[in-house]
Amino acid sequence: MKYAIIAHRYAQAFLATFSSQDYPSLYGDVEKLTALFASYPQLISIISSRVVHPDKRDALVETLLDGTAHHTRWANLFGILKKKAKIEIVPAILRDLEEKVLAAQGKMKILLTLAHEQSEEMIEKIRAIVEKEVQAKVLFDITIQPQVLGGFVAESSSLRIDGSIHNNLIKFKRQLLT
Amino acid sequence: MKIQPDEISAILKAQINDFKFEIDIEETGRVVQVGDGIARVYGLNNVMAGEMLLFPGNVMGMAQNLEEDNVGCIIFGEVRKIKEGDIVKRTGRILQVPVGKAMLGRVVNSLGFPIDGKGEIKAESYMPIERKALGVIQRQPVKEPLQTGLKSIDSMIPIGRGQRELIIGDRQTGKTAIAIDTIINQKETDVFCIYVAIGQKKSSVAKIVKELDARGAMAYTVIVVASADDPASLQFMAPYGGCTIGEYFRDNGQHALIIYDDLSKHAVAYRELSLLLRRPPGREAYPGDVFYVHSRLLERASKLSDELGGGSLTALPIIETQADDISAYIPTNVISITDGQIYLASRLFYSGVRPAINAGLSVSRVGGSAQIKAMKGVTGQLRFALAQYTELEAFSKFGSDLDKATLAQLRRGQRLIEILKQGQYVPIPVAKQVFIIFMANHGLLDQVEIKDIARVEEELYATLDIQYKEFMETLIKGKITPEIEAKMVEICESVLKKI
Repeated sequence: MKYAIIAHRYAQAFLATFSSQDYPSLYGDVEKLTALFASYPQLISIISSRVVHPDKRDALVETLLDGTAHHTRWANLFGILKKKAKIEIVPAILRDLEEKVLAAQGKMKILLTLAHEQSEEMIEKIRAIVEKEVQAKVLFDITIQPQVLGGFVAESSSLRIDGSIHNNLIKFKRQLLT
Repeated sequence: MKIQPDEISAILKAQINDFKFEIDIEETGRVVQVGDGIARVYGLNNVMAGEMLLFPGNVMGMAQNLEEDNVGCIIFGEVRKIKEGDIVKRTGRILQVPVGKAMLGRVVNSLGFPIDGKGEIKAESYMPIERKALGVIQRQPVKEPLQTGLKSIDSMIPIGRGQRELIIGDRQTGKTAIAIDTIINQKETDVFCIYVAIGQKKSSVAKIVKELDARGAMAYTVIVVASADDPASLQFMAPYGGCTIGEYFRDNGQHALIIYDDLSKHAVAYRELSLLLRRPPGREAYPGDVFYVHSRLLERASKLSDELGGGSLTALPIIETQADDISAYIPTNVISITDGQIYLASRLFYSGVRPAINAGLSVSRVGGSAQIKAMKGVTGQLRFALAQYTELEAFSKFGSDLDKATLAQLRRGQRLIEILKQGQYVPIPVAKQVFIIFMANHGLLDQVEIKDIARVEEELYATLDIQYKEFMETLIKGKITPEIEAKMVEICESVLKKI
């Protein structure tokens, strides 16, 4: 969270260099890079490490960006971040970019927490509830957490919809006590 | 009492049946930075300025700075419970405090939570801490007196219900004593009192509570405390919370008196918050809106129109000066906002004149119209005589040969100063005040030695209490007619004969 505000500013500036037609390809790039950094978190430390030779770090960045649709712009962004010693905020920038590009397309990524796996039909019912609230098409990222007990919890960066049994039991307990 | 298991299960069943499964929707943000009573939150895109925020551990906060990509918040609680990355929830509500008669006799914090260990407050309702001051149409001029029980104030600097009168002076000059005496003097009246302690030591507040309790004044008083160890955010909100509690009485056609002790510390707390929120500092490092902070607070004191019930909220803000400098930034600000000031001089205090009111620098801009007619009748020349005395006293120190008239004026002045002296926690009813001032102003005390003045005063009050109760009631109801005046002279002479 430390760099959330700075990452937000970088993401906003980076996005300003694209037109809306470029958004689908940009989203593809963001997805690809996010997956890469999620799979190999140590990449950040290697790119920002002063122990690793600068040429080798550049080569690594070049490899990472290989195949991206907007290679030059990504390379420039990484260059600036490397110069400012802020490579560690790349994942935060990617998260912010993903959110912004999706919002521009009327979509929203939501982390859906369930107590156990649900049928496709139930997921669609939850989707309808959430879409009504956020007024956007939602893309679910589903996690299973038995502590929820039942129902669902849908979270985005700025919204939390809690329809879990756990939350309702807490409210019921409060009602009994008052 | 026997516990019936059937009854309990029936209640539980009913509770379960009544319970509705709900989906909570909350707008959230995340803490980016926290410390010094301030938090920066990322997200909360639709938050309103002044909106209450809920931090983890049920810590409340308030949105203050709505910036381009973050929200600056003040936190009303333990900052240690909050850490970077924590979720902050919007409540959609503006900060509120409990109000009503249930608050009387209680000691609460800035948010209205009891801190006196007397249990929960069952408040009649809740009202927003920040409220807009009433408009011109909803008000009427100040016309009823608010008696402080202090001779020097009620006679020379009268305070009216709905007025804002500043009490200003250096440390240890008796500012709080005036405020506490005024609260004690409201015992037999219909005025409810609110005492707001800002940045004070807890021991001082405990002493005040004890004194008020001992004199039966807590029955109609609410004490709002944001002590020196409370976060600056709570110290900043305390007077607004207290004002809302007072406004409840005013809006219900009743009368309330609020004391802000003191606004200098309030300004310091606001300066601390503003600097931490990175607002640009101005004169003496105070933010540019420090005037508005005090003006919007004091403007809430008012006398309502008869259509709105005619209630009133009188404010007595206190300002502490440094080395008698009333031309500093905050004192001049508050002087310009209020309807007058009671200036307490440390020189007078240490020379034994208590309350140490400097009559020359003290003024009441609207209270005169709220003074009772009898008091007006006897105090006409009081300020003038005192001013003359102060001037002559300075001159008399240079020469030894003084003419008879000057000596008489000096003699009168000394007696006036003497009768205006008053002990702490002994407010005097207005009728008695009228009598003693009448005595001094009519030269009835000119032949009494200074050391005997206190005895005369004591004897006079005792005589009035025992023999002239009805006469005193008549006296405060109307003007002093020649007949009443003759009767007063007669009473005074009879008292003098006893000495």
